[in-house]
Amino acid sequence: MSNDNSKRDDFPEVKDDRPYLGAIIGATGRMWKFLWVRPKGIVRWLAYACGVLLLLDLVVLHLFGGEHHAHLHWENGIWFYAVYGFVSYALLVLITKHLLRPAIMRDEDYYD
Amino acid sequence: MTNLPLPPGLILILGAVLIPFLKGRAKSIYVVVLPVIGFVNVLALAAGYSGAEEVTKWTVSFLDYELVFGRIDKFSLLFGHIFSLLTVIAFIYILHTKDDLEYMSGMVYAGSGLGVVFAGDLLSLFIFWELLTVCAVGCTLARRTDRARAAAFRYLLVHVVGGLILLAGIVMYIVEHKTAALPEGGFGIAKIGLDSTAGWLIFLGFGVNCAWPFLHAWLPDTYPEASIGGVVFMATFTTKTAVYVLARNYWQEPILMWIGVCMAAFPIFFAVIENDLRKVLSYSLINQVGFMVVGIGIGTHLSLNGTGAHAYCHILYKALLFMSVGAVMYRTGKSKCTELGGLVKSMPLTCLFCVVGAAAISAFPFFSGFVSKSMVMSAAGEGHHIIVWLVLLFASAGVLHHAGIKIPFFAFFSHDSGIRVKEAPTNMLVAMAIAAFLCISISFPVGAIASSVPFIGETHLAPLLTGAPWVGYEYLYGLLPFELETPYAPYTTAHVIGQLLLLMFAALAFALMLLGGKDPPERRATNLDADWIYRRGGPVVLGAVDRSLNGLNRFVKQLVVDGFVRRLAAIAALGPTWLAAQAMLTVWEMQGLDKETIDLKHVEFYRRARAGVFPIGLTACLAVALMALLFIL
Repeated sequence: MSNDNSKRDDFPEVKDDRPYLGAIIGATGRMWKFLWVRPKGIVRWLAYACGVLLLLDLVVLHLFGGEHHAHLHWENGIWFYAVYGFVSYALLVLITKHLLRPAIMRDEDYYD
Repeated sequence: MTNLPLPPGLILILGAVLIPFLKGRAKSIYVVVLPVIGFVNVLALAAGYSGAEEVTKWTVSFLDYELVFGRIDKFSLLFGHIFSLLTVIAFIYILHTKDDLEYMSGMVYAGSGLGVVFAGDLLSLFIFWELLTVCAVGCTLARRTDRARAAAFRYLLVHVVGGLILLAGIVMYIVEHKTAALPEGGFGIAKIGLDSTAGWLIFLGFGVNCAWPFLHAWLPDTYPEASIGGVVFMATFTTKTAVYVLARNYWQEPILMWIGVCMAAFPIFFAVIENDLRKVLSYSLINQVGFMVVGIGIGTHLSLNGTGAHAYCHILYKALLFMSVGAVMYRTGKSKCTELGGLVKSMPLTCLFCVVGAAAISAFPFFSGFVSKSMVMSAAGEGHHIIVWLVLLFASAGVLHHAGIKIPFFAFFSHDSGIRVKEAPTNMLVAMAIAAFLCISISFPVGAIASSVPFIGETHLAPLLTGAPWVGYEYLYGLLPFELETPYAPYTTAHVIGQLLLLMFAALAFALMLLGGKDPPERRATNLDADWIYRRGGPVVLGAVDRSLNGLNRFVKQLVVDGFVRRLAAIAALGPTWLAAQAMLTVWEMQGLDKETIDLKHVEFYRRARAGVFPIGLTACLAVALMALLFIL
């Protein structure tokens, strides 16, 4: 990710020759500008959301014994999906980076 | 209305013929109105279908066979519905191009897709199947670059091989069964199956179009080179017709379950390191088709419903993603992660639609992937296919990386590439808006909201919402082929929280790895795939064949033409002379001639033999006269 934050904050005025779209496009752009402040801010919000979900999983599904409809018993394990999502994602990226890419990456004009 | 004059596929195929003759606004109106007519036609078919048994329509005698252009049941109507709906959206999307090649390829493509879906016999299926290939080549050529031409040629070669395997299977099937009709009895009851060689060949022919592992390389090879609008058709029809025919004819074949598992798993590794966004989408397409193929392999009513629902949702969000990346390409001329970034500032609406598509493919709750993918997953769990289930869950987390995060992130966020362009053309925005709306609306738990929220339930809004088409997952489930004893409920607390946990923690892993510098940086590169076998292996084989066979040819030419034939000619020419000369030498020696005279006579003899002037006239003449006399007498 680039450290060039000055450029990131530079949202141009939306210029579009379609008047009926200009307002929508402008509003959407302002919304994005509002959301997209700093990357670390987004990661922090993501981490908060994950925390809330863990809590929900614990409280709603396990402490108060919500519905269990799973066909496989480990699906009911506490935070199973969280661990599986995190681990499989990390594995995917690491395997690809360290095993697959060295094996199959060639020059861009390899076939030309 | 149910007896509209033409079957759905033929409306579009025959209608496409008129496109080049129209000009300007008339052409634009025509290419949107025609798919709309096709769509209304399919809706009318669905409305006229009673829902119990398979109906056969539009039967034509051809030689000794019956071509059936209308095999109508809930499954073919489901695919017909989404195919013709997508055609309308795609034609709105390419309205600005005014490109006859793209328009005609797209229109015939859609028509042949519908033709395959409604085909009731193998011969008409095969005709439409091959038309699909021709139109895909047209859609690729419409890009009009050298790379596209080369890719189109490779596409053609692979699919011609696939088509020939299919044809061989069909011929064997006809010889065995004395008919070209597909097994009758309805979806989920009759099938071709894998108990004969014909069955296996047809299976393999379908598999090439379905992009099975090792047969898949044509897809990420061609789609990134296709035209901006053409790829929307390609991503919709080719693989999904293959899913359809496999589901009809090979459901509950366990081998399909494992093929599907491989398809769902391996492309995500390739997609992670791919730089070209449309290539990333191509790999993610294989991954999503993998879920459908698993559903076919499991073959229960729930899983087949899941395959149908997932095809419906997948066609919409995959088209949406291809359209949004296409809009970026149209404005910037670029499609590589390394060249894009920060486009949210210039193309906020396209970005919004892209994020909707990304959320739908990642199966976030309230987006379409959530209500369809989970059916296949549940069916795998229900059948206790533990490994299948675990790999599919892994693939679900993987989808989030390459399709859910990578596509929007590198195009619209990431580092600012400094590109400032206009928002996409209006027609593109309209097409994307329709697709984005459907991605959300067909997954929304409208029925549940209407019944549980006190306000809405008591007003006249409730029946309006729950009964409306394309609103609520209940509408989508109503289109599916089987009625389940316990209807599938996607929005349980456990499912929503579990899915959110899976996705949010995968996203957290992405964010942490990106910040920590562990995410593989995007590089400008070519990543090898199975197409290496024919793109690199092809020239090697050609060279080897050139050296071996042409070498053999040269050797045999030297041996036979230059050696043997020349000797034979010499023997034929001089052999008798030599024999006669030997005889004459003896005669001359007996006459007591001296050596010099004999040598002279010998040379003279050869000269005369070459010229053919021996004074044998008198004897021969007498002999011929005698024979003539004998003959006459």
